Amino acid sequence: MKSTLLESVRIVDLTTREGWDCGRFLASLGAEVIRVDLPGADTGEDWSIGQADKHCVAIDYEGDGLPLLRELIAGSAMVIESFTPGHMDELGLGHEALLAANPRLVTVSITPFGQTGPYANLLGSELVVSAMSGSLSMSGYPDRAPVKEAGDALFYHAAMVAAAGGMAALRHARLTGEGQQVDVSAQEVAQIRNTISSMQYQFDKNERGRIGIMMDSGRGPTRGIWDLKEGHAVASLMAPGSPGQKAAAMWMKEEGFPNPIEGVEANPFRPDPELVAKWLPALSDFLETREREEVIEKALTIDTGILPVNEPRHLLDDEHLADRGFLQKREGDGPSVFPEFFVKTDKMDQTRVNLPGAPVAVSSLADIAAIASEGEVR
Amino acid sequence: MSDSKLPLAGVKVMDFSWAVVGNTCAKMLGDLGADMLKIENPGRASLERMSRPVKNVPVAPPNDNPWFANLATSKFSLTLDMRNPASREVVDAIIDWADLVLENFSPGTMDKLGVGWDALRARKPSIIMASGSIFGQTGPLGSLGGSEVSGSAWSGRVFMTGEADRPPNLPGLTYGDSVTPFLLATAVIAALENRDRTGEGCRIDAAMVEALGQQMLPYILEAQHRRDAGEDERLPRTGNRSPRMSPHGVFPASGEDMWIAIAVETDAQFASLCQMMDRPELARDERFATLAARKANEDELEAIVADYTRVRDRYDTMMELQAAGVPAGAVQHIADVMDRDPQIAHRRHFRPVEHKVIGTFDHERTPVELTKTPGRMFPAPGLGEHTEMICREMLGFSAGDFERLREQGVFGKVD
Repeated sequence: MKSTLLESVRIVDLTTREGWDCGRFLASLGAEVIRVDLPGADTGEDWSIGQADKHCVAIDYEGDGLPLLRELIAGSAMVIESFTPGHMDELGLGHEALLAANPRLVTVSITPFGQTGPYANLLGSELVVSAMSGSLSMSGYPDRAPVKEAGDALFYHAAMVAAAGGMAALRHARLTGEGQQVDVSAQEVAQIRNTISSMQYQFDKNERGRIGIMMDSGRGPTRGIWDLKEGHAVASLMAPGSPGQKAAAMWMKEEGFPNPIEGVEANPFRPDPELVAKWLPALSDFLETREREEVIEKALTIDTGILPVNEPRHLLDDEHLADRGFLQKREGDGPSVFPEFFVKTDKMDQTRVNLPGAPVAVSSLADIAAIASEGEVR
Repeated sequence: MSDSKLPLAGVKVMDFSWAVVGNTCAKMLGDLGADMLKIENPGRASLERMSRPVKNVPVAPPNDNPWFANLATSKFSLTLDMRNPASREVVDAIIDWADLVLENFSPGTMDKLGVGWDALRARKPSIIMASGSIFGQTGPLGSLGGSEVSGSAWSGRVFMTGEADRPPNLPGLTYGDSVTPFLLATAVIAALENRDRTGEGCRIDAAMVEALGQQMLPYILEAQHRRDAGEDERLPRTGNRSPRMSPHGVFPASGEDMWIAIAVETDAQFASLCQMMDRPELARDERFATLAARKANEDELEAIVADYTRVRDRYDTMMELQAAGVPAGAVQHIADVMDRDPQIAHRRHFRPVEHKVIGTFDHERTPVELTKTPGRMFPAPGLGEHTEMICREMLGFSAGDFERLREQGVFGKVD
């Protein structure tokens, strides 16, 4: 299912792996995204997944195909790229050069450290950017090395920021006729996740660190991850007297487990350490006897605020995500499930997400138009 | 109020954002030029006003919180007691004024306040309503509230973060709360473009679990592949290791809690690393010569790399490896990022903004550079600071009407 919000917008996508999700997201909002690869590029299943709902063509833009690509971009609203700064200029595709043929053009550039500055040309993978942004130092256990977060979290985040910045620039271009470059640094994007640290450091000279299974929303560490009979759960708002604590205590009572602070009046905003010391071990002992399904049921029925830590496999059978139409089964080659959208709107059509095969070699705009108008993405 | 040099100039937003997802989206829209009218109930103001993670500031609640001040730049504040029936006159005037209604309450709350989607579009068919939530507005879990941690745990992201021999760990900073706002902002601007083209409004429903589900896609597909093949579909946590790179890890550097990240993708990069370690023979060693060999002997390889890094300064190692073409980065702490990083300084990521109560301090900018329309940041408002200005100048109430509304208690009581 795609939204139809951007159906009049053509976007050219030249990104490397780090930027694929930007065009994929905009395609899910209805943009006509023309994905351009060099002939012979590696286009396996990973590549296909990254190009979902895009129209994929091969153009030798490092050689004879450059005029065709420039012509394609001249008739497009936006080009997205994630090369090392300066590479687009070397190709003859720098933003200023492209503006001559298309003054309204928006060039969206996604890089590890941005287009300018002393580190602009450093090599930056997901792990390296995570290190330099300050986020890696906050993940893991204090007695071990920092540990990266799952997947390519930072570049995905940067791709979403790039989509938003690109759309703002696109609106400005439509209203004023002025194109511009949108410059996204994954390092900066990752930094804004660490606001409490940047505030605590400025005012209190406090430097937060890694706290493993604990969490800290600014008022000191509290336990975040708990053991279940099998697997784990998250429960963060468990201070004595809080609604979550009261609901959990009710559940414990139903199951015949003792509540060591039953009947005690407590202020959750000023937790009494003695009450906390009695309550948390009792909750821990209780949760270790509980199953994942019970945890979900109690979250829904008495609002415990406790939820299981899902494994990826659990999402395959997730009734909620299926009910919303998010994760859907597919027939044919390739993955047998796939997400249908990034954001749900009331302007969605019923076409299923398409995963393209290898890009088609093209030699004219007419070839590209034919591929884009096939209705079904190749 | 609008500045045509800003990309979202002229966009009018009725902003009910109450927590990080909504407020981060609102910050972007405001910093890029939208007119943000932030509506707060004086009895339950924004979460970031009420939570107090920072100690050493002048005590003047609810306007003394740097967390809120950083997140709530470029907007105006109006207080409104929406339980008071007389407030409807103001609410309707704001709906008539607005292009967009933005909110991140638990699903159903806006309906209870009389500003749900059906009520909004009945009054103004071209209105856009954008909601951010953990599980979305519909579905079996749609009624659940929750937080960043709930969404991350549900998406599989928490489970897959950490090492196999320990429970998953919770990174000590936001992710879903910081990613979802930009999906919301993108869809909002797309909807504005669609409205300008078609005249139609739009309902936008951004769910954190779906925003994160897209990021977790490779893991979800791997689990499905394994299921389809009849294999064990439980995926292990792999710490810092990568199936596509080796060595790919965080190695000790000289000094307490100092580390260097190294990510080698190609054999050529590995040969350069070996050269820098003064161990050129390793590049030809059959245990390490290819990615497959390095993956098979990763414990041994990581021990060799750690021996090289542990006696060296993290920044020296980073710059020397980078010069040799090897992706490497010092693991920076917040003090390094704010005080030492020349790139962050060059990009002016942190920008001083003078706040009436807190004074001048560094705010994080919305992290995107638009070269021709670079945006703005003006200080976060005090609670209800602009109530009269909004009613009189933006909504067109007369002085007499404003006094009448105030006497009716429409704006609540701000201490």
